Amino acid sequence: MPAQACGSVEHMLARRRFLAGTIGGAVSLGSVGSFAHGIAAQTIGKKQKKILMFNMHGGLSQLESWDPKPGTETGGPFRSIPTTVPGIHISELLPKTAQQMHHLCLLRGVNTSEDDHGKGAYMMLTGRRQTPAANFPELGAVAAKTLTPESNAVPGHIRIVPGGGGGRGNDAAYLGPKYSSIALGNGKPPQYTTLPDGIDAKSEARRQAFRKQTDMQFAKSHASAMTDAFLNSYESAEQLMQKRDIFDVEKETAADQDRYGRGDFGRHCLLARRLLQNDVPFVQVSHSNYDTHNENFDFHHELVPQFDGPFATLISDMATLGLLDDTLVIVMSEFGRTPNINLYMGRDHWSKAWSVVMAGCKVARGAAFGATNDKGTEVVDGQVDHGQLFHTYLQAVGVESTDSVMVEGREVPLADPAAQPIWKVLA
Amino acid sequence: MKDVSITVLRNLWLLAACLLSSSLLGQDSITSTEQYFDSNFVASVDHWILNSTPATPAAQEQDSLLLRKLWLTIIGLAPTLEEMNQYLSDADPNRYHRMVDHLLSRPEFAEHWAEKLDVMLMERRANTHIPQEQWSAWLRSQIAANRPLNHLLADLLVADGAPGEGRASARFLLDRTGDPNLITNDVARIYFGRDIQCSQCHNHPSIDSYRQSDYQGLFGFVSGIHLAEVADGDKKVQMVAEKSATDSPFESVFQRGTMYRVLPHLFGGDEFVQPWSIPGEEYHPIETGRPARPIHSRRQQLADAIRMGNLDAFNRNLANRLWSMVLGRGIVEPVDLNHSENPPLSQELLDTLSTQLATIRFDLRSFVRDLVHTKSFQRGRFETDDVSRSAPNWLVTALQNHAERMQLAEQQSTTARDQRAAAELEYNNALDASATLLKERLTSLGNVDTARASLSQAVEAAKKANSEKSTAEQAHASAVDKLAKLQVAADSTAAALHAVGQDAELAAAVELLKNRKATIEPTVEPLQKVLADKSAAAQAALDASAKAKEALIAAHQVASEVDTRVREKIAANRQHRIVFEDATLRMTQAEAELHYHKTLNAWVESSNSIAQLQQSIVQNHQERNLIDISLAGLSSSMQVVEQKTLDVLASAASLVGQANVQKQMVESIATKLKRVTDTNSALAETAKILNSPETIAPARQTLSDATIALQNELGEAEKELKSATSAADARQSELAQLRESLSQIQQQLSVKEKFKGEHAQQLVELEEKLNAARAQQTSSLHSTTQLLASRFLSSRLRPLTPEQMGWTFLATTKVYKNYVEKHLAEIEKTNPATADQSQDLAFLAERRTNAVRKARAELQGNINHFVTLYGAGPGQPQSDFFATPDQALYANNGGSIFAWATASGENVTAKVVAATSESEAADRLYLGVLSRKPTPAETSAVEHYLGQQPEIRARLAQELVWSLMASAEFRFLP
Repeated sequence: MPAQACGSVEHMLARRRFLAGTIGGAVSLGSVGSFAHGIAAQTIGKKQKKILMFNMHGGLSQLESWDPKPGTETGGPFRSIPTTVPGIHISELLPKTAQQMHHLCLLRGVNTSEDDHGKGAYMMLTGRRQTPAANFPELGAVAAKTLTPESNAVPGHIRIVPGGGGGRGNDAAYLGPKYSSIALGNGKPPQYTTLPDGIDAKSEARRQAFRKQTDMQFAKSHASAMTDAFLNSYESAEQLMQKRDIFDVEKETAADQDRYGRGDFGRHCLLARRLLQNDVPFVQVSHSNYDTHNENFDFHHELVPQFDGPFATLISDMATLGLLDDTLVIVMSEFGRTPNINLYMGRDHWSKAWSVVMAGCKVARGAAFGATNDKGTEVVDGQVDHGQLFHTYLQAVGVESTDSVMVEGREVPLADPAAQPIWKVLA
Repeated sequence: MKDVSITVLRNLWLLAACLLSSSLLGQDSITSTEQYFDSNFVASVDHWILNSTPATPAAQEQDSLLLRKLWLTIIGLAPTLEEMNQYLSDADPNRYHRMVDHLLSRPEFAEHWAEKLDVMLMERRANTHIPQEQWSAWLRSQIAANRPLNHLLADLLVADGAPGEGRASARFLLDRTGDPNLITNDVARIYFGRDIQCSQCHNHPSIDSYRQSDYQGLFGFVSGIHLAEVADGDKKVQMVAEKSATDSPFESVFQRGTMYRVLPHLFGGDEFVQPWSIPGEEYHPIETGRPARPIHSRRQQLADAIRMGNLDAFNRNLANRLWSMVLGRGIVEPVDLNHSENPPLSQELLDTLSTQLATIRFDLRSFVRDLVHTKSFQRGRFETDDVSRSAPNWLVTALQNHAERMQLAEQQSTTARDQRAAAELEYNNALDASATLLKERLTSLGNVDTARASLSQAVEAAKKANSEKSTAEQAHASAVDKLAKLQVAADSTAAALHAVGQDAELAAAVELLKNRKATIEPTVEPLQKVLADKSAAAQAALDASAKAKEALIAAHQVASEVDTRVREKIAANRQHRIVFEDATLRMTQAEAELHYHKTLNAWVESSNSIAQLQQSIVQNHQERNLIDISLAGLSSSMQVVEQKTLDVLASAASLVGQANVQKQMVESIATKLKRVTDTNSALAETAKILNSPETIAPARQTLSDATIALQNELGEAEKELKSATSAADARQSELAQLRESLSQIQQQLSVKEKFKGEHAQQLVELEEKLNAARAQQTSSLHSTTQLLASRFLSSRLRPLTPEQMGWTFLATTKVYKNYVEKHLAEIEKTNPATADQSQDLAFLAERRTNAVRKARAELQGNINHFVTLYGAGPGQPQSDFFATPDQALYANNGGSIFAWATASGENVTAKVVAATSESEAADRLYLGVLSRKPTPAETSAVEHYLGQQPEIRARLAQELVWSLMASAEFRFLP
């Protein structure tokens, strides 16, 4: 058999079809007028699946959160408290989350064997170990690719980041920039979604009309997938500007803004809710900085409660609104922190035995899977790694994680073929 | 050396010539085009492309668009309105050639091609070790100096990153973290056009030509590379070091347990002979500030092979990549998937290009100069009649002429397929038959490794034994020395005592010295013994190491003997591989040829069937008209018959009535007659009875008379009845006839109606077929356009690179030129040129180069922003087009593009504002931004736009310029 996998003609055709698909979809959406309705129309009877990821930068201590060991030499000063699920106790720093435990699933047996920030984060986000010879897409890019129709005008991969900035991330690898993240710096809407100074609605309409006319003329004589994609990018931009409000947390009611708190993290959580309600398939919220080599307990005493309130409110809201049925929630870090308490009352990097939390979709509710020993120094039950977790995330939202996608004429597995999903945590 | 300097001289001459010609613009100083490019080479390229195909190529691009393409290709900028007008008004027939040379001499040539080479080589990887500007500056200097590209690329592989100017050239390796597998992947792709990443762990599952042994063969050249931290003054710097010959057995993950070993080689080529060094003597002496360098460097072997200039795989790939940069598509496409199942469009064409590249000693300027003179570069888009979209007649004729060729291709594909199957079998058999030898090779190289390890150990042991021997020697020597010195001291003290006579203290001293000697004396012998032992051990170790060395030499000898046989075997197997790959190549090419013809045919056929269908539809209409006419005739004659029938019916009715009356009359007469007859009979009876017939006779006479009268009357009446009946009957038969003809007409009518229905149905079907044929035509027209472009018979739509786009926004709005002028002025101000200098072309050129560099450095931030938006991710292929909303959002709302379009000075917006008529404004707008004249519709659109609010004309002009810069047409090369 001739090589079809890398055969250029087939590749071109496939790509052409792929692009043609994009355009067709967009045109039909355009005619509907609102892409939100468009998506709904395309997925009638099947609700948009979504993923909400909390990235606890620096390495959240599992001992001060999901897997406390009070009263042991490694346990530190905080107690553990009961939750709404009998038998599951978590740190007293998470009292509000404890009240939502019946929605959550703790994975206490995570072992990723990588104590470097960058490499650990890479593994947790891509489900693979970093190699210089290959680069893999992050979960958000895979989700945007697999959970949304090609025609989706709203970026499918959103990161709400603290601080300023914005723009497109470099996290889609071979899936291409279409699936790269769009950063919402400090919860602000995407960059350049408002008219620049000095251009009012009238001149905007005027110049866009002229541009469109020029483009339509060009597209007529130069019909190609590239021209279509180019024109489509402007359509999408226009729709994004019209739908800018879905990125604007200020449009939420004052009561809700108060409930989530006016702090950064509260605002980011509320924005996440807003995005999920608008069927954005992947939202990442960050909370930092947990890299507490010094004064671990003071810092966790300050940081964890900041997380606890808004997170618990969000989980509760998502359950009430029914969002939890279609949304997978993940709370992760690049690794956990050492059971050993160092000279500076800190805890160091620790990837051998730590915890990840999941909730929603097919994930078992009110459960704890896996366990560490008394001092938290080793996994004694239900050990899992980044590769298995990545498979499980995808399976939870109904994506067959062992499938492949065609990229550049090559078949690329969505997740590490050497790993398997953790079926036990999926109901 | 001599040739290189000739190239340099030639280029210097050209540079001078260009400067001269551009300064003497308009003067026809050079008449022959021969001087401008290698016309033989260009002609042979053109010839091949034309003769490969039945299709007539697209016409040459219109001058202004060709100029745009030329500028963007050579210097990465589009011309401004003035530059465009200047060119269009130049009457010199050689203006194109002169323009090419002018552009090649501009500083932007090195700037632009450094950007292109950077993207090709680094694919926008992060600058971890070498700052971007340092790397770019190095590339620019290489290009500006016409460094042969094979030398440049060879340098990258052997660079060690030692501080100094050359450190930048280590970026290829440094910013790939010195990872040998990543380097193997990228060298295979970028240097040799083969993406063999999949073959690292097994033969490529679907590409037969990409074998694991080839991956490992290339890997062997770079496997020793690693990064090392080397002190540079008081700081530590990462440099590229190389371990001496390191290779190890490998296995396929598909076939665990069978180990192989290969020596460095290139894609099925001969293994490179590997010289070796004694352990401990593998490296050059360490130099301060440089990393370890093995005496026998394998990466140096690879670099030398490239530098030699006769490495086909390298030359073809480089020629293909340069062609692709200029023409928008490779002869092999994708450029990094060269294998027998994705063969070059033409092997001959690729060979022509790579031979030319080697002949001109890999000189980038000359090669680009030649390529932009090919017809393929200068072609416009393949245009069809937009309305009919029909295949032109020439194509029909051409395809007929090519029928034979197609048959041949059909045959070739079948033959090649069979040959391929046979060759594959033979090749696999040959590979199987090599298994024993490869095992022998595994053992022999394994033995070399073992012998080398033993020798290393033996050398270490000998070193150790030697140092122990020295220690023993020292100990022994020092004891002997002490004894001797004590003896001397004792003797001289004794002499002193003898001279002095009685002296207790001296006597004690003599005694003390003797005692000391006595304590040391017994230690000497053991020390001597130790020394003897250690000497023996050292000798033994030395012997052992000499032996180990011999063993290593022997192992190498065996291995080298095995290597020779392996080499022969590989060469023999290669013949099979070549036969196999050649058959594959011919098969694929024949199939591509068939596909090409089929696509063209499909266009012709769909065009033909459209014509036929349209004909049939016309005929259908005509026939339906005829049917309608005859239907009308039939229905009118039916009306006549019907009327007639009605008339006959009426007359028949009256006749029947009359007959009935007559009949009644007959009956009544008959009744009367009967009565008369009966009466008469009765009278006769009565007469008989009465016997008086006479009395009755008169009555009977009367009755008889009446009878006769009545009989007469009856006869008359019956006669009339008969006639009336027969008249009625006649009408009846007439009626029957009429009914018959009526039913006939009705039958005819229904037949015609049915016919009409069928025609209507036929029309529906014809129209369906027509629509299908039209769809087919559109799709085959689309495929045809693409195929023509892929054969370089028509220009191909391709996006500007992020850099081309960014610089062109700046150039179009004249921001670029203003910055260059500003820096020129600043340089002139700080360092005014002397009178001599201002006459010195070289001096002026250098000044301009500096100003351009400064301007670009200042504007670089803008370009970086476009790269972020329009470039693909680091380490990803950079040639794939994509369009994302954030790009459009930036163009819409980012502000900078709109701001650059502000009317100012002499820029295009200002020119539009200042135009004396709206049609002039439109001309300036389109020529200045899109390098073409507007269509009448566009002119009137501009007129309308500017007419909306004359009081804000400058603003409206700015919006227009923005609109065109944000348009699809601007995004792509003409």
